[in-house]
Amino acid sequence: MTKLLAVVDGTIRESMAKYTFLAFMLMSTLILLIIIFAVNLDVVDGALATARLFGQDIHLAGQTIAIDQLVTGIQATLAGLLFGVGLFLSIFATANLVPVMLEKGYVDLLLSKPLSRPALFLGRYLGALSVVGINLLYLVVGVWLVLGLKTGIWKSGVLTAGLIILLTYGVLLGFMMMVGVVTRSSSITIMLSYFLFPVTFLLAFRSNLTVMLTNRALIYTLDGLYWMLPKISEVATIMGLVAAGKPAGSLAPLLTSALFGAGCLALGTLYFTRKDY
Amino acid sequence: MSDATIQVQDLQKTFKTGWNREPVRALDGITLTVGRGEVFGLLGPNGAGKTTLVKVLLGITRLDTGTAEVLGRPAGDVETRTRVGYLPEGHRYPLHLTGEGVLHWFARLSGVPRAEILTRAPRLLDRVGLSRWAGVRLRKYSKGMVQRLGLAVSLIHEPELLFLDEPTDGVDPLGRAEIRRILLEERERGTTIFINSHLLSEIERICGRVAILSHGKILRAGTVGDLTAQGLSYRLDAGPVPPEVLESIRKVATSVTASNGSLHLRVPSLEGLNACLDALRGSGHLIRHVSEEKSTLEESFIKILEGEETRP
Repeated sequence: MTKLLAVVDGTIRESMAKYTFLAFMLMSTLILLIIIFAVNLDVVDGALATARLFGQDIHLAGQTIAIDQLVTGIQATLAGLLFGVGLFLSIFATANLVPVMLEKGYVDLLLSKPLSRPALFLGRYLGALSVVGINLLYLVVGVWLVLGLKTGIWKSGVLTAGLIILLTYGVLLGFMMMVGVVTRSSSITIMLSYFLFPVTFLLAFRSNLTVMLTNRALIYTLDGLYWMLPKISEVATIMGLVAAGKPAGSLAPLLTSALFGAGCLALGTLYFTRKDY
Repeated sequence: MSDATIQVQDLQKTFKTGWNREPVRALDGITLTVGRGEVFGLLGPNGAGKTTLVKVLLGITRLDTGTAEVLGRPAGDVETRTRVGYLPEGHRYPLHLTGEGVLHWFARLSGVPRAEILTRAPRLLDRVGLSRWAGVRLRKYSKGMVQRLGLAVSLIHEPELLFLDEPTDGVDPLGRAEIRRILLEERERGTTIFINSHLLSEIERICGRVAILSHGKILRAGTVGDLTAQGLSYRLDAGPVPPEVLESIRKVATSVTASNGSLHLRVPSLEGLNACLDALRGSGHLIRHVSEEKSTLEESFIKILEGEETRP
């Protein structure tokens, strides 16, 4: 267990040494500082009376905005941004973790240590997940805390949305680990991971395509791909609903996506365990 | 219980590098034993299979057929690796870490308790001459410094068996002498050392026994003395020898050459050597010195490899 933790720790340090995560941390800090110091909200009877940004009045044009709606709106916008930009950056920053580990001279050192190959691979996975989790935790919990303290409205939707984003990253990370161990290439890992987004978005709307198709085999293939691949589009919808404090509906897309990630991780581990280095 | 630290029997390993390529036999029936506390050198040209053999012994690469045991357990056994140190060729350490950080991290991966790490790490950094650089990130280290750090990493968990692949690669002569000193200290401690190296002069100085590997096969194995001995060849320091005496020596010796006041003789037997000495003494010559002629390990290495090349 100590050795596994050493791998996790080493992976966190390696990731944190990269400028991508440093930039993400700085951006998160900037967002938090803006909300803390630059945004002034005056709440009267549960509604927003005046709002100021950097000391300048924001004209509400006589509209009455319920403060809880405003908080939910900010949180949902942040969650949406994190799902897109955050995942994009996280894939970019961690795609090389496996190819780097497999570099000649480094993999030899790691494999000569008294640690099983599955433990080494899993440690690398947990390390990457932890580093993204730490970054997400910092921004999501920070925004939730600051908005709660400023307005007295404590909406937990953004926290759950943060967990869904982390789960989505975990699914993609499983896929990245599998691609990384087979191809040993960061660029192929990044490309294939980004490619999953449009493919799964298209598959989510496959019913619009299948009405135009007559080839049954093609329809079954699209259906098969839909059930096999992660459902990023549906997960994004669930995340948005949760962040907005609305009921999420069916959690099946989350579960099947998690299964995809776990399957990829298992296949990657198996490949790593059997390969000669 | 066997006293062998490494025991390999008829080991074979073939790599299939691609769909269309011919399989490459990296190890072809290797059999060798390395005893406890021995310093063993594995020599061979590039691509001979030296690194593959070490990787098989560590479980980094799997064997196809044959058996390999390390410290009494099958090669690659995870727990045995707590007792084995390894310095690979062209090793890479995380550049964002400091020298001390690298040492701490690899010690943790080897299962060394934290309290032990805190006492061992500074001591080892001092031993390899990197104390002043302990807090400096690796990207500032020279190649020789990284090599010395690599040696410290391989020793941090106080292994019983040490595999070193080109340990003096990129190290200046002073650094090489330091590494040699450390390895000799380890030998005194009873550590078994297995070295792969191209630097034959280094091997000659450190190793008790060596094996020469080529095309995945062991061509010769034995002590350094065995490999460098030239059979019944002797050098005699006896001053200038008159032609008639030289003629009588030629009748006994299979080859005679004279240079700088020395005679280089190859004789069929010890009796032959004594007959040559008698001929010299009978002519009134005073013999100052008789020594067995040996080639350097490098000369023997080249000779053995050339013999292999010319074999039909």
